[in-house]
Amino acid sequence: MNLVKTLRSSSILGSIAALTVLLFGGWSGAVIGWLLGTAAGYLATHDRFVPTPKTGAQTGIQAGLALGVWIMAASLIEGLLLRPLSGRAAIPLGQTWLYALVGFGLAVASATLMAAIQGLANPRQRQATLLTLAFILIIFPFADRLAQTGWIATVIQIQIFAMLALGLNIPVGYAGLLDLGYAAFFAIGAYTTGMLSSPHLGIEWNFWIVIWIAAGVAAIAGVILGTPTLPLRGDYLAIVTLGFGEIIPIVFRNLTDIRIMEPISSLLATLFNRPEMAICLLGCEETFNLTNGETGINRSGDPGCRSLAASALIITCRGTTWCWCWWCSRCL
Amino acid sequence: MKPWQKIVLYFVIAYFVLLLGPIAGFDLPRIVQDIIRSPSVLVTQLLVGLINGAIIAIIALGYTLVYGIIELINFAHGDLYMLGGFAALTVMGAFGMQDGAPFVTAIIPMLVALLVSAGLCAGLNVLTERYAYRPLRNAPRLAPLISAIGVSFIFQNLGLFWGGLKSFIPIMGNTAAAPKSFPDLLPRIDLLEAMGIQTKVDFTLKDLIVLVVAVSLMVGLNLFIQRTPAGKAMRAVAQNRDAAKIVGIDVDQVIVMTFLIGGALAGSAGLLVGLYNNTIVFTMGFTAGLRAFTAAVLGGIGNITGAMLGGVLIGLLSALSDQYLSSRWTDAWVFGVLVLILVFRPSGLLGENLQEKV
Amino acid sequence: MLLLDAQQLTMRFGGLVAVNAVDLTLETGMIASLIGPNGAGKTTFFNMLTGLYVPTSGRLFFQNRDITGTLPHRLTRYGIVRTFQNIRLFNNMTVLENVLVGRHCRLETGLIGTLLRSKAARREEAEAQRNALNLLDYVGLGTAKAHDFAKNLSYGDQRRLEIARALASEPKLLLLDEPTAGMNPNETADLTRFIYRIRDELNLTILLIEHDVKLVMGISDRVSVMEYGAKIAEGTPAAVRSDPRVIEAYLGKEDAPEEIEHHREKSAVPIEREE
Ligand SMILES: Nc1ncnc2c1ncn2[C@@H]1O[C@H](COP(=O)(O)OP(=O)(O)O)[C@@H](O)[C@H]1O
Ligand SMILES: [Mg+2]
Repeated sequence: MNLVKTLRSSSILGSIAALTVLLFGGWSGAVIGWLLGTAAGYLATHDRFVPTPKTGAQTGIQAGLALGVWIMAASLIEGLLLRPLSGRAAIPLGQTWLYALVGFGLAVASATLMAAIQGLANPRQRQATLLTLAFILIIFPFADRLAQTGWIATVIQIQIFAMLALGLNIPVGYAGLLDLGYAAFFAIGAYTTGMLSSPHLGIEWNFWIVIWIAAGVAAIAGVILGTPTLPLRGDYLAIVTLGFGEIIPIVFRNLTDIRIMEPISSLLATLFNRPEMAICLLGCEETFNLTNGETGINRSGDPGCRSLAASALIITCRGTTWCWCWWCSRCL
Repeated sequence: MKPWQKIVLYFVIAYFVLLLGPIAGFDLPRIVQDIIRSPSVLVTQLLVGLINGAIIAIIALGYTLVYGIIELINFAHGDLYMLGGFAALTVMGAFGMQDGAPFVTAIIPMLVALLVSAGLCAGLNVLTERYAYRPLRNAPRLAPLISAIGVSFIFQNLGLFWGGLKSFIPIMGNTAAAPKSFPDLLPRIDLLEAMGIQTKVDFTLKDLIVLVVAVSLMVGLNLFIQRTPAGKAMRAVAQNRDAAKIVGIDVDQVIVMTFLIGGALAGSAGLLVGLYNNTIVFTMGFTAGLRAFTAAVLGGIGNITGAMLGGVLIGLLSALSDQYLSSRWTDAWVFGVLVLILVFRPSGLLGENLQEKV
Repeated sequence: MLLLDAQQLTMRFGGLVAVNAVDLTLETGMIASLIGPNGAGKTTFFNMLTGLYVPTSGRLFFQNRDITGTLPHRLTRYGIVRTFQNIRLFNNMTVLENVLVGRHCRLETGLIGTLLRSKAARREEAEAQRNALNLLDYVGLGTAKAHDFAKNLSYGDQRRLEIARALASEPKLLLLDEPTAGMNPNETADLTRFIYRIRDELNLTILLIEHDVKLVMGISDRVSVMEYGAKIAEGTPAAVRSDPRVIEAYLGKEDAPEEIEHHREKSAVPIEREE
């Protein structure tokens, strides 16, 4: 029973891992073995009682082996078959085996470790699990560089979408309010960031400051939209938010030539036909371009070396390259 | 609040509208000047708004009918109308119609196009109900709504695909996603001039035909709903489903009929908009759908007269906004109205049915 | 002749057994009643008879035809029709339209016919209209209110209209769910006479849910008593009245039989949920 279940949960992860290896080849087996091995170890033990680390490790090793077999097979197929067939430069046999075995080993090891952790007593188990995950997060960029898999850009996209999904889950999942205009808040945050940290308006604040302002502005927009719409029923709310989600892009696309005149004075100016009476508040000589229309705000502030070193954080990314702080110091 | 406080509040609001309104094209002095300078433009614009409004009203009826019966916002409805336009264009292509073809030769193709697009949309709508909504009838309310959004995407991609079939349907032009030009078939004879009245206002035979067709569709629907037993059954289901079952009404059949009628109306609207605006594009369903939905909500969703009234009002609003505010901001104004109605008067102008539903 | 035969009808809502293995038969032409405390499952039982609920288990026969799980609109065509405890009219239709809709299942002309306004369709329409007006007269609503909206009628009139609508479908079996709820004694007396009259003149079989025990005992050929979803007694009014289990269900052990009616009069207006 347990064995069947273990194998089944591993077969899903295993096919994912195998597909990845077939696509990327090289050291990708090692990286994916490490990541999915940890996942397999957790999945194999999370919904059952694990009395001791030892029993956990026993379960984990099964899961890891199942996963490892997938990875090893895929590595060998990739190195010995796909690579020559697709006409890419062949790699030595020994190296293919190295890829396969390292992938296999890492899968088994990380699955065993994770599963063993699940056997710890409760507060320790939680701490150790979180620690392992934090370790993966910190090490992954370097592993990615070492293994030359180049997944970091994708992983960042994944994380952004995961954040969006987490955010959407609050109104839709917890509160049951279908919010079809959620992406508008994404846009509001993005435009706030763009306006405050790019040369477009000449305000080039540090990204790490702007991110909080952007969050705040989006939150205020949420409150402004949320307060009057809260009494509405499910599908009416959906429509209001949908309408809001339609308005916001129109607004951002069109805030390109703003000129604000003081209304009373300009009314008088029209009445008396004396244009010089009108008081102009904004965009007088040249209309004010807030959002740069369809082109959008390019080169908004990036969270890379410079702004990072300035805000004394430790790790971040610039483009697809991650760096240590001492590297960053050279940016300054 | 004391009266004077209220007055101050209104003044402040008005001040800010005047201050910030011009950003979105609401520049009152300029608008007043424009209107005074050429009032005929205003009248022409009102006519355009009326006709576009009639088309929007036909689409809005589809939303309102379906909402009245199963309380579902049929998101796919706007895109159905877009497919109706594509079907009509395909028929026009099959008959070899081109800009300025004599009106007499165009009558048969137009009638065929009406039948084909109404029939296709009716069929598609019924299929959608059968396979995308009916299985979810006892699911939580949001499930069919999300399903409808999915169907809307499918229809939109269907339109994109259809638009790319240039080797089979040359009239679609070279680029799948580009707006398609719809042959201009209705004669632009200025009726007022023909009657010997000299004005700057344009009211052509084309306008009249589109308006007459749209209005007769609405009148026909109204007669159907009010007079025929089938129409009575529809109203009965909308008002009290259990009681309707008990008096022997087959609720499933009524739902199918509702989708059939709504679909046929959407298809006809697709043809009309092609003939009137002479351009269709696969994304037009989404905005038209939202406008029509706004119209339905404005009139009071579930209320048929309300949908017609709302359609005309939204049409007028868009036409006036295009002319006097800024066409770039028209959609924002329309959706702004939608949000305001929903927040301040969710039952709409004529909606009382809603109290029963809520 | 056996008209309706319910065998072991059971309805569960999750863990709650609202109706538990209830048997009930109805002979043609009888007036039978179903009584029981609030929440006993009477309305749920009606909902199963009329197809609004599909029984969890058990079988249902109407004129020897198995109708278990048949859709409500079919059952109406077969001749089973009902009124609701909490009135369910088409509020935004006129009184006349309500009755016309009640005839829906007896209409012969199809959609095409009505659209083309064929001669047959027009004749049918005119006849339906005449019938409906007669029915309004028959239930005592009169034709003067025919073009008022149903929602504007008084409570008693709404009840009458619901019965008229039910009768419009030419039923064989009429199910009335607490028809006197909210009526004053005069109206109740009227209604009692009316029930006799429709049974005799229209050849109906009537099953009645009622709280008014006096009315029930006076009118019924047979009374069935439900409690906690089960049928606990059945028989002639006299037999049921002296059944100790019935007395217990209504009042607790020691009370005398006459107390049943007394209790009814004192009890508050029943507040009930449906669905
Ligand atoms: N649709 C439903 N879902 C859940 N419970 C229900 C439903 N309908 C009725 N019930 C429950 O079944 C029981 C019987 O209700 P009902 O038949 O209305 O009683 P009565 O009409 O005898 O007063 C009640 O406890 C009621 O709450
Ligand atoms: Mg009841």
